[in-house]
Amino acid sequence: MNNLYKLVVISLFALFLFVNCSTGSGSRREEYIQQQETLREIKYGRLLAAKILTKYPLYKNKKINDYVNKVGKSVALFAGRSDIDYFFSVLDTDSINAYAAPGGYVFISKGALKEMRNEDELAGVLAHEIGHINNKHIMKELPPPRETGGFVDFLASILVAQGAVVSSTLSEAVNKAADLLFTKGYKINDEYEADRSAILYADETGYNPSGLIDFLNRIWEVKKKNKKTVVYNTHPPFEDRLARLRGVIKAGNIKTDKPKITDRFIAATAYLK
Amino acid sequence: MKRIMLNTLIFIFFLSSVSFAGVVYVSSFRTSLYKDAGKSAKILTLKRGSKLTVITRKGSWLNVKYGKKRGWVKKLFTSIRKPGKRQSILGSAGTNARIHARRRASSDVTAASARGLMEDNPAYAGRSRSVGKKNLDFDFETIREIESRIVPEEELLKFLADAGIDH
Repeated sequence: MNNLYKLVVISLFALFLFVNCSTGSGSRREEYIQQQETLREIKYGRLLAAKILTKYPLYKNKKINDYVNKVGKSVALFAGRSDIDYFFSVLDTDSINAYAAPGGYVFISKGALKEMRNEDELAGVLAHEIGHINNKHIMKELPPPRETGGFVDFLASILVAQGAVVSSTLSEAVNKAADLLFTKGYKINDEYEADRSAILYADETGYNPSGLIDFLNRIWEVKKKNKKTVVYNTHPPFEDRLARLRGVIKAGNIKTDKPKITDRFIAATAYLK
Repeated sequence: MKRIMLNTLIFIFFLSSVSFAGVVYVSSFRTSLYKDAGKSAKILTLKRGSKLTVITRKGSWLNVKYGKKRGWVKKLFTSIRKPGKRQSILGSAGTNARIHARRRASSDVTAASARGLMEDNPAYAGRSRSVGKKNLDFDFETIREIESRIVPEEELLKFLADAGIDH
């Protein structure tokens, strides 16, 4: 019996060591897998971003793009992941919206910028998009297909080189993701999660966390006045979003009395057409 | 004997739980360690990657130990994984030299596995319509322009400080 006891203890200890070494958070294998997953996400998101730009072109104003990029990157510095670069750009469309592609690609429409009054509102909207990326909403809902890297891809490359039309599972996945962004919308709970993240991210960066609330309130008014205006048509109802956002601020005892950054925002967006 | 075995199992379970769930890392660039949950007095600033031992949880807050200090951090800005090194697929085809020159060499991981998977490779995304060199389904030219806009961390901190946001 004594021997049996020893055997059980040794076996359990060996199992503990094995599990710890093979799946521990710091293991090299896990780190490698994590890196590969991140690269897969970036490749997928980059394709989706390149697809978004065929629907709405980039707004050709370097000054405004640089400004938006700096505001977004500032939020991402405090709220973002360390394993990806984030890029923020303005789309040349008067519809009021913003989009995020996995891997760090964020777009905001010229129409949305026109409705903003200060940098805190811009930071809030970009923080919401960062929330979608950090919470991997598209990666979870529409994950990209695994690369085979084998005979199928090799054959496909020959067919393409010869001008044949080859269906691509990756291209199909990107089309579905684009459809999610432009038509279907995220799951309602994903939107609420991105909203909650946005409040906390903006606050952590140092912006007034009520920026997103102020902006949503304003565009809700725009929508009421002109029902034809394309405003966040893929998002949950404004009433619900605003109520939940206020709930996040109240529950977290988050201060909303920080001064808003208005002058720099007005100067940067003065030439928006 | 059964009692001894049970105690051993409990001990091993305790060891496991300490090593798996007891440690988190700061995932944001900087975050604060507070005296109480709910943003009270700040004890100190924690840098990305700081290792924290979790004592208890309370809503969206974690009570942690950092060295000899004990306090609260926001769970959202921590991760059970060590913050990953920056990944990039811009290591081969389509590389913008400026990006590489400005990116911190220490945080850049060469994506050897990504080679051959860039947009000029049909197996990656080339299965799309194109006229001459211009791809009609994906605007990679603009993406490359966007990706050239790297801003160093120091510049971002200055950008925030210029607007009165000091960290």
